Amino acid sequence: MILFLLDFLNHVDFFFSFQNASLRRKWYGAYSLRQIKIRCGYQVNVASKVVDLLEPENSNSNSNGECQRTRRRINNCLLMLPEDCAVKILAFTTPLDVCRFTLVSKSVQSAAESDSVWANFLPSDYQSIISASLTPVPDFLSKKDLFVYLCRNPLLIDGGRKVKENEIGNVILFP
Amino acid sequence: MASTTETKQKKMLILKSADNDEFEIEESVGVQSETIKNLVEDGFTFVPLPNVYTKALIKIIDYLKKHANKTDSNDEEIKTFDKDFVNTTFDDLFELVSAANYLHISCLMNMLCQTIADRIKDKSPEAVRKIFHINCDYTPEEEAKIRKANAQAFEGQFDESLD
Repeated sequence: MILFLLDFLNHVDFFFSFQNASLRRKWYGAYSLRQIKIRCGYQVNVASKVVDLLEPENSNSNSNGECQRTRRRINNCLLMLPEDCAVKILAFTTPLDVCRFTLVSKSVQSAAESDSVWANFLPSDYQSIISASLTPVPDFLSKKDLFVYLCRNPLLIDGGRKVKENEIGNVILFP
Repeated sequence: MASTTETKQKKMLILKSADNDEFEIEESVGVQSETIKNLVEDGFTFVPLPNVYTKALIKIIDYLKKHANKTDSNDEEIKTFDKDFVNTTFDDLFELVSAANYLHISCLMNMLCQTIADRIKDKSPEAVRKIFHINCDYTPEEEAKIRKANAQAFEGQFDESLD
């Protein structure tokens, strides 16, 4: 299975580099580098120099294709990031930020409403807190709805002697 | 399997970037990436990375090498290195995040996501759109609806800067 996958990835790779293939051969000829193989040690410095050397050539002779590729890469920045990356980034912000970023675009909205983002804002033991609470909590389909509910409805816990408020929630009240 | 044939000589791996550049690194450095580790366990020493471009790969190899030599004594040094590592443009950070995600390097992933999150906190949706190069795909009515539903999140002044 893995072999097959690798093989497939290789094909995709070849497909994308195909249009540059003849050009590549030209550079390698010019610099007599059949392959840029860099030994460890100072590979990083050497590699960046080699790339610097190659890139000007590249932009002269293949400016169109290369520009398009760069543009495609930049335009799709967030779209290219899988949704779990976007979710991870959002989970490191605050509930108010996440609500505001919903307005960015529809793709961000779907990440911003996912349970994995809102699970971060709820206390990690929220399930046991809720089940031990005297106040009944309705079932919610999403953790965001639960979070919003808990912001407005503090729970009675510990046999009714304490009130559990959503710590972060105190600042966030929805109309 | 691989661990039983341990020899003095360091095992090397070759990583190939999406731009067809090849890098040779020590196996012990490479296996910090789950993706590479899985391939190594299956006996591969040549690892094509069709989703990782040379520019990002150079930085990531640098990171892996630094973190492979982690000891108690160079803790401060690594912290400084990490700080410099993430001190870059948003576009570079996005490229690094998608590479780190593909390679499954969780500590790097957390560090990058935390950095991006810290830098977009308190920004306006318009600024975030520009930073992420996203076009707004809401109709004005949908936009008004979201503003109304999350009214409190839109109170006050927000950071419009793009860095």
